Amino acid sequence: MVGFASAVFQVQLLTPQGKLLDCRAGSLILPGHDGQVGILRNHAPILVKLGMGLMRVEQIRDRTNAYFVVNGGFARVNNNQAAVLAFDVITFEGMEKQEADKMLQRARSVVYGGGYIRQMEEMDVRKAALIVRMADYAAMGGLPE
Amino acid sequence: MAGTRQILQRRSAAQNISKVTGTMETISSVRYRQFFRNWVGGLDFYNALAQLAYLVVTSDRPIEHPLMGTNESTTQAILVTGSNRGLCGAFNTNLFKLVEVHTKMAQRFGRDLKIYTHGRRITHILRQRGVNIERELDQFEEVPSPDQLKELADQFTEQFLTGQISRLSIVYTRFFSPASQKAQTLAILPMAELIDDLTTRATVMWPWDLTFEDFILSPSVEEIFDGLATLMVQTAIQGCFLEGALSEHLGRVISMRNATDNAEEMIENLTKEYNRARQSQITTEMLDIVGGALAVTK
Repeated sequence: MVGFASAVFQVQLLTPQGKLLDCRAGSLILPGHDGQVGILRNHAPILVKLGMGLMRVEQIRDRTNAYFVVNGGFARVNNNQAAVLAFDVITFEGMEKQEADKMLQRARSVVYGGGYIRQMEEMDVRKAALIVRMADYAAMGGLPE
Repeated sequence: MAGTRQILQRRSAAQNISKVTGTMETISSVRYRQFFRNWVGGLDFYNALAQLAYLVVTSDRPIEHPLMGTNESTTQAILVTGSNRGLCGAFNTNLFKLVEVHTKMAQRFGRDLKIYTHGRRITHILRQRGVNIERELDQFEEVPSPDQLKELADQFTEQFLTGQISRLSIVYTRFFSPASQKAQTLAILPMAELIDDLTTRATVMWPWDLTFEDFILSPSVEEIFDGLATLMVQTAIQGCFLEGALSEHLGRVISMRNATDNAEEMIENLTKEYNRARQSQITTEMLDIVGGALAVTK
């Protein structure tokens, strides 16, 4: 879904490997350490520790929504700028379709039981479930109504 | 003067060397570009992390955290990040010189030193010089994966928190820019020094652009700092490995380029020498023939 929001703010997702996202978006939902944190324009300055979960950037100007599985990190919001710092991020962004399919297939096999024990060591079950959810959101173009 | 056969042998040896060094240069320059992209990409992250750390530690209420203070232990740990392969100029030698300074300082102040190494070359150099190595980290090639990094950071943090070590430093080659790299030591634990280093880096723009305002903190500042400390230790360790790998590959590109240039110059000289020797051999043979023919006609 391409964003239509007029009240946008700057969102950046920074990792040691590079800047994964730098855009103006209408809504940002972060996986906080104790639950989800929703950020809109003119949010009060906040510094929040992140847990493992799905980060959703929606109503982005000129592009579709972006989803990331984030495992820990920090988010700092001030002056209509949100900077998310994360060490461990999984995303389909910029990934070849084949590679993304392979990752999704692996995640599905972990979540739905096929080769469960074999895969256990390779991928965290919770992380796999999040990847599957991220794929569902991306396929639907946003959250189900 | 050497015979033509010998000259040809030497020339072919120089050609082989030039091929090998040329290939090594190409491989290293590709790896260098990959690491350089990672390094440039990570600068924003380091900058944002440093700003975050600065904001947290300069808050009105001073933070009391076990990782910020010192402990009573007389043992210090240093992690040396060298290379697995040689032929990269003075890369490993410079690191060794720095380790030598640390061992001398430790002896002078009666401290124990636990030396952890990464890279076969530097481990070999240190062992050769009789330096006692606590453990060689060989589970990863150049830069550790996030999981390996977490494990490494947790190990050192635990050693610090349980009082087994009073300090953790990394001896690595810092990559300032493609024109400037230098072997140096970065103190990781206690964290006060790491924050100081991160916030005064040449690559960090600040703190003049930072606006200080009241933040909503979730969870409390201590818990935030706890998570931040883990992230910073991991980031700093990863940064050192990355900068080390960058400097190593750049060092190898330069060395191999010089070696290739020298080999090519040698090939050129040997070709000239070969042509000269061949010419003189032909001249001698012709003189022999002419001399023989004259002798027959007379």
